[in-house]
Amino acid sequence: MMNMIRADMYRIIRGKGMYITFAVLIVLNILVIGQGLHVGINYGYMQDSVGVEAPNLYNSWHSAATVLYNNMNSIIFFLLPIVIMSAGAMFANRTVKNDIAWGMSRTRLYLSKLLLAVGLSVILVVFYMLSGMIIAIILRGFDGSVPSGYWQNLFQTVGSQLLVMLGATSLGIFMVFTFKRSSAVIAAYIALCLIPSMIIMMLSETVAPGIIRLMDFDLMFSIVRLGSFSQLDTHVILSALGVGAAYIAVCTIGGIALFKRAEIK
Amino acid sequence: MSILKTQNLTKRYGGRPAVDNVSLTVEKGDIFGLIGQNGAGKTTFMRLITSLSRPDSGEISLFGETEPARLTAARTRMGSVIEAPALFENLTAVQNLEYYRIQRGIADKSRVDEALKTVSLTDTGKKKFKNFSLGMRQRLGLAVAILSNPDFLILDEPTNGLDPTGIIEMRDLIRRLSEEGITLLVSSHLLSELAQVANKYAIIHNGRLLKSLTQEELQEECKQALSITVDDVDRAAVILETVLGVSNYKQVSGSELRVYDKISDPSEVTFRLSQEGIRVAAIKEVGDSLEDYYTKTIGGAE
Repeated sequence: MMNMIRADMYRIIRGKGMYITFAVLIVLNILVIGQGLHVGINYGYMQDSVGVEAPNLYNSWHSAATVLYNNMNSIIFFLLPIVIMSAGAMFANRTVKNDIAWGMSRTRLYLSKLLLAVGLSVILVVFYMLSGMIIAIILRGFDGSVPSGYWQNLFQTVGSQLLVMLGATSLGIFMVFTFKRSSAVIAAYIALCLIPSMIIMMLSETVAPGIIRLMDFDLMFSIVRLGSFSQLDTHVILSALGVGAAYIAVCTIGGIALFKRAEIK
Repeated sequence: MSILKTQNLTKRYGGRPAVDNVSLTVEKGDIFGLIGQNGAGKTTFMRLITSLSRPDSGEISLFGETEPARLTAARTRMGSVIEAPALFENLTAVQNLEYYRIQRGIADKSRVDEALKTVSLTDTGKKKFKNFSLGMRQRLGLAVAILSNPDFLILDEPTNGLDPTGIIEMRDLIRRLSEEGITLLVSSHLLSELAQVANKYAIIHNGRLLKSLTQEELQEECKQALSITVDDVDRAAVILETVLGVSNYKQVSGSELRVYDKISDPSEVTFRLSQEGIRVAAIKEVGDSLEDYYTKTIGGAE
């Protein structure tokens, strides 16, 4: 399995996709940190629903972390190129048949692609945070001091958000192995990330207010919520983390089961 | 020793059998030709062997292994190019091979150059796979298949789309790989094409295995001969040998002899035999061309 991951890294490094993804991420960070843009955040809703205060826009380099946490949900879309580079390429180029015909078990093939995508997702999130902080330091200067508990909060927040992000990565890999076509994966992934929360919010405001509880199972909402990690109750944190873990487990088990039965074209 | 053995292998699509109870054996050292029209079931059969499709019933034994996990492991001793070669379009020939070298855990980096040299693709430089011609694609696909020094190679219509020079080169390559000790299963819709390289053949039609034969049996089937039907084959044989100087002949039944030596004037045979009091019931040229034989075989199945 490690050989498979190493081979895919060899291929990815020689492609343009990874570099373009990271370059776009830097541009997004420059916009978010530099211009104070907030992508995809509804602070009013955050305040109303979970009692979280909108972040104080930063006046020092370390305040940028709060902005980065709260924009983490936009990073979920950067996982798309990651899963397509990791697993989609083998379906797009139809090289999957070389791997299966050579005697690679379907379970190992699936897991190797998932592990690769998970690894790249971790790198992506770390890069997002680091590049954001560096941009903030460049813009605001580095005074060396941080509030007490700053680093602990940073690791807890990003760590918990990362777990939910990996749920999204698992979902993406599941979609790649199920649909096999990148265009279908992109459409389904974006739809599944955006549409359920929109429908739930719309219905909760018009038809049944109680339906808002379903937001607890939404990946995007879980990531946004965990952005205020230090202000959340333990059960809210566990619930959000449970969503990520459930996505990882269900998508991986379901994806392997489906792929084991699939015809390889 | 059998490399591949299938027993009653069956695969259906929408109720229609694409491979129907196919049982065949490929022995070590064989160049086994699988012949059939487009849609006959050759590719489906190969897809079942390589695990790209799951059989509905039947058994596959590869290097003696039949248990699923061991069968999967046995496939690492196999190389294959099924349908069109598929490689990463944005990588060069060397990069594609390097990818598979790493993936298959081949420590010897020189295998990449060796495989490229074997298929005569050492000079493609920075040209990416997407810019390769059909012939180059076929050859690079074959290079990937032989990269891990397989014992068994499955090639699905390797000469498809190649120009005459490419076909000759591919044929030479198949012979060379066989001389290196690789057992091959090669499919084609042209018997005449396979007849130049294979030593065993199986004719498949509508998913069913119609005939399995060796090169000698095929030659026998397609041999041009003069068939003579007489009332006394023993005496006729003596006359053929002593009077007409025939040495290459065979008695195929109680009343028929087949003469494989070239006889320019068949009426001379009739005359001599009649002169010796042997009644000649029939005399005719027999034997098919490869294509006639193939057409007759599949025609008889319809």
